[in-house]
Amino acid sequence: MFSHRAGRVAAQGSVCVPNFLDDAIAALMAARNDDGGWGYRAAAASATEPTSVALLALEAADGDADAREQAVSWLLDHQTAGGGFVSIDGHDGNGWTSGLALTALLRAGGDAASEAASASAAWMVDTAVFTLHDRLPDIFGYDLSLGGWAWTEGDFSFVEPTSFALIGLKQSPQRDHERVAQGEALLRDRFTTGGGWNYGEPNVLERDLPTQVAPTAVALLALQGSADATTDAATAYLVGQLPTLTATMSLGYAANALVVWELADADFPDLLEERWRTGAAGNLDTALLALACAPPERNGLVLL
Amino acid sequence: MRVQRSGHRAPFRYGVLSRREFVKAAATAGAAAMLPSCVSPSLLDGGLTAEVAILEAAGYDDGLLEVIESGFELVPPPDVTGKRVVLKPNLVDLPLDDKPSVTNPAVIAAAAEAFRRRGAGEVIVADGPALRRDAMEVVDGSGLATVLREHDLEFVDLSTDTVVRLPNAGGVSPDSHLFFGQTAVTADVLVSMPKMKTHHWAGASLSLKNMYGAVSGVVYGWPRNRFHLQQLHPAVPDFNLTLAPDYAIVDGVVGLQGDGPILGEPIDVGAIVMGDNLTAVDATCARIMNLDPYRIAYLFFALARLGPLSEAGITQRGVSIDTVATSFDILPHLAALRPGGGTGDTDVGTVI
Repeated sequence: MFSHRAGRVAAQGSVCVPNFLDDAIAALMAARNDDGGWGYRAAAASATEPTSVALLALEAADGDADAREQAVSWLLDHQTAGGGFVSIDGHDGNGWTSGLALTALLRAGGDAASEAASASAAWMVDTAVFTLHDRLPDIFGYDLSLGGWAWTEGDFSFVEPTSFALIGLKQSPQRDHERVAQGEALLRDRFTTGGGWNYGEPNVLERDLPTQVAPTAVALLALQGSADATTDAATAYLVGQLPTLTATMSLGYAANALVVWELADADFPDLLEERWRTGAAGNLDTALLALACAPPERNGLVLL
Repeated sequence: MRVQRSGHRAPFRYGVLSRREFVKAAATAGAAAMLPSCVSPSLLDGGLTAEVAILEAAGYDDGLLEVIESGFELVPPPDVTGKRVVLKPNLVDLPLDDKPSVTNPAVIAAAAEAFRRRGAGEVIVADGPALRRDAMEVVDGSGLATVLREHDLEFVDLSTDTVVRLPNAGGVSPDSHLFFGQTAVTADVLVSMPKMKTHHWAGASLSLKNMYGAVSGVVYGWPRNRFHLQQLHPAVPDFNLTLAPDYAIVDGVVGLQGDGPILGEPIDVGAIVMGDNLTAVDATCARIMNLDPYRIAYLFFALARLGPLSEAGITQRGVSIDTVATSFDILPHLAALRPGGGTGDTDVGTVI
């Protein structure tokens, strides 16, 4: 179903049938919370990740202008004084979703969004992360001295927060900051023997831990344009997982990664639509699948 | 909203150490090793007692509903008539090679039906996997999705649920507030349903530690590493003092031994362990597994605040511990958790 060839961003054209994109956008509009944001599922509190990706999907599909404006407002209302973003309504600290909010605000444009995006990028390159100078190979089979980004401020680095930060920073004026290169180095160091990434621990107590779909997909999004042996192996891993992958959040990130790496073939639209219509897709899942269906040049997860 | 209110925090004193000093030392030294031999275990229970039911269960294919109903007769759960019951299994990650790392869906189904028979108005299954963001991968891959369909059960991912900010009623870990998934907080009856297994940092993962999955992944991440960084063990009593489950049903039909929580190996135990005091349930499970509950640091932190650990303080109902006792393999650095102790270093996990 999927061919494997490493490469860069697909050049043009939507990869999905129009009806699916329209239906997915309509579903997103119907699931929007009164505060202008989206929760992970219906009736759940609005959160930064689904709101950011829904905003990206609406931008890509040239969706409802008022909804886009309110989504931007929701994000601005959930930016902390320090410049990061809370991860969900009701939380009060800088969170791991700041890179996604940065990405969405950059795509939305406008003075307020751009100013907020700049503040977020500045926070991300300044925020503390926990590292150790010593390697502890008997315990952790990876380099503890490398710093990326954490789930919570000041904590240890993991793959998905690092990837989201890189996706945002690489589209910001901070794209050449030294922490971007450090983050990429961390991702490559955390590569698993299974041919992709997991949450961030490839080896613990001298045992290899398994590869996972969603972390592999977001790491591939973060490393787009930097093809090497790890990205070749990771794209092959994703291609191999797709035929049996029913969980739509993982499928959504995987779909976007495969679009970025030009691995979406003729069967791709039907597969996404079938899984979306038969699965229990939440709002983030729907937004990710809609985004994957947009023309790549309008997909905010594709680096400019 | 069901919240365990913070009680009066007595100035615990153990010899010359304050409680805080003691628990910090206990985390690194192995708690039982610090106990003077003249101290009665039941005295340390702080006057708390509990009953725990141990039921034999030969397999997952049939008879589990009757087993759980028998357990309810021995140690009754709260009245669930017309109430919203939330079953919180352990769905740590997608099981590898069919390793029994998660609560078996058949046990979840049996518990759901047993609560329905007792008149529950609604039964929901809810958890936030520790090591994987996409909970539905675990639900699909563990076989739980099929059980949910067959038994008309809703699943809620607690990690991406609306969050509820609660004051940290334990105060053992540094955070002043904790963020939980709303579905767990608003349950009328919350039931912890772990897998009986060893854990390469915590020693054992049972009903108290299972509450890690009730705190918000969106806030704390996958894994919820903030609490690992601030020490794994103190967070366990904090979670359970802040949001106290009402009952525990431990899946010990087939346990996971060795390098848990995901890489271990199956071990046949043939038991379901149940009760309304999670500390006592976990102490009983530890004894079944040939572990000393006093040497599992988070259980020692729970002592006297959440429940008893001593054999005298826990009345065993159903079959005896000896009937189902099955020594679980543990990793070498956890050797100190065996009764009688050893030279293992239980603090290895607090590096991160």
